[in-house]
Amino acid sequence: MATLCKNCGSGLTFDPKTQMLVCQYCGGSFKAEEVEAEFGDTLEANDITDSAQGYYNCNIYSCGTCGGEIIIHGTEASANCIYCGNSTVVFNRISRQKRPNCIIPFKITKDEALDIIRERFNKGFFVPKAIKNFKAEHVRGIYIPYWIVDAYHSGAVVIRGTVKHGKSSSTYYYGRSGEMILHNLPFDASLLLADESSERLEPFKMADLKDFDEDYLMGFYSNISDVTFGEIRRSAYNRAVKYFNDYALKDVKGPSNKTIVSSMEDTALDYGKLKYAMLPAWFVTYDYEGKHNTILVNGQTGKIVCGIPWNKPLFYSLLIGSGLLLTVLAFILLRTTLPFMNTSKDSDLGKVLVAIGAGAVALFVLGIKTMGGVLKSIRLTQARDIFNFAKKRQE
Amino acid sequence: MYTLIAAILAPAIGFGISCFFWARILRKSNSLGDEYGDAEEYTTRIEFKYRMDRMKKSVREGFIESYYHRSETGYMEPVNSEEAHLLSEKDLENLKKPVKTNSTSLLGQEQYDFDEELPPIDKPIFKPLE
Repeated sequence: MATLCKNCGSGLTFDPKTQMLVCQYCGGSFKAEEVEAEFGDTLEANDITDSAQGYYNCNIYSCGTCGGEIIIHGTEASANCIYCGNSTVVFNRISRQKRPNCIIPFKITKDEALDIIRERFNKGFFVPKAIKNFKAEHVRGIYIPYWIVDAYHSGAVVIRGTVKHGKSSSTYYYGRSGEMILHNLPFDASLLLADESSERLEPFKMADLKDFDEDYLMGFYSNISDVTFGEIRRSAYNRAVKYFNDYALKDVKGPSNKTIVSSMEDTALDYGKLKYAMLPAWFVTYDYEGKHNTILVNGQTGKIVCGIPWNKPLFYSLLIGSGLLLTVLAFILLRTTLPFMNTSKDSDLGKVLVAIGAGAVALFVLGIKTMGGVLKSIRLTQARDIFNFAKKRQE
Repeated sequence: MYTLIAAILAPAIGFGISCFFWARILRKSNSLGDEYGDAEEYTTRIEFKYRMDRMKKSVREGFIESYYHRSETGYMEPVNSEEAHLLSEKDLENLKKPVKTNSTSLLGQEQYDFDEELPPIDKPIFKPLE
């Protein structure tokens, strides 16, 4: 299903740089919204969108390994699955799909996406050399289906906090109730793509939303919405609760160790403003140590989302080396200063030592937690884990 | 004595600082785009109509239920100086009843039912901004 060039009859593709449909053979370029109106007679019969009924035809390909489904537009043939990287992708069927209401066209080109990744990888201190010089196995521009919602949230929370009075402290409870209105909140509508990955692609600049036109899809892939109302409502509720609670915690000023101990809330969606949209992302896959890694690049803003396997020998040698050095320095410092600190107020010295010890352990735990975050990010990047995560979400 | 204390504390300090420092560098270097969507990107309005500070533990449930009672029974505007109160047994029973809305019937519908007629909003209390 290709839109053809009026001059030479070759397939057109959408060029993010010029925001025009271009012909790779004769160099002709046309505005996306004008192609259908002016050259409607060059479209193939099967490609005509039944926009009056809100549907359009598309070619569905499916992966024999992971079951992932993608739509391919234009003349490009798929060789590898965008989710698991395996080459068992075959044509499945022509399907009539719901026509999206709007689209953000790609603004970042394939080369720009690769340049952004390379530039960022070269700055990474713990990125292995092999990855810095990575060779992209596949680079796919994909329109991810999103539902964009407006939501009204009402809630009430009780926050527990600690207030210090000199040397003593008291626990108090704080109440906040109110309402919040969220506008243009996006939720990825593809079960195969993990929510964590798609949320990290945000923000998209919604001001660039255009009315949907199939010509923007030319030369790119897209996916279809396979979520239910219940899932959209649940996702909206979870995001709204998180945002509302964060605002409430910020609104309570003064106490420390603030925690929400009790809450009631409700989120209502405005179905009148519900939009089905296609938002752009580049999926760049490469292999490292026998594993598929998928880097996501926001096709509008260029934001990169990925975890990169790190140079473990370098990391652990620096960690242990500097740890030993700091241990020696700390020992010398403590051994020298402790006798002077030990005045008649023995109890104060004890408290100081306990505080130092607790602080050091807290730093260690924070460090481990941060490393856990990096590992999580890498797990999301490695395609099989993305798929497993998506599968779990469906269960 | 001092040597023993220093020998115990020094490794904790050394490896605590080292672990924290290098883990931060690692995150900056190898975890890209790990921040999630920012609330301020999407919030057009946030308003706390009712605040209570330094409450005693005994009134916290009353606060929540009192607020929700208002929401479910006509969405009355709370009065700032009004104190939270515990609801009567009868009120609590009312709170437990499911909200009367046709939105619950939509929960099980699949994607292609989006074409079906939808209620314009989830609940009648919804008041969109002008």
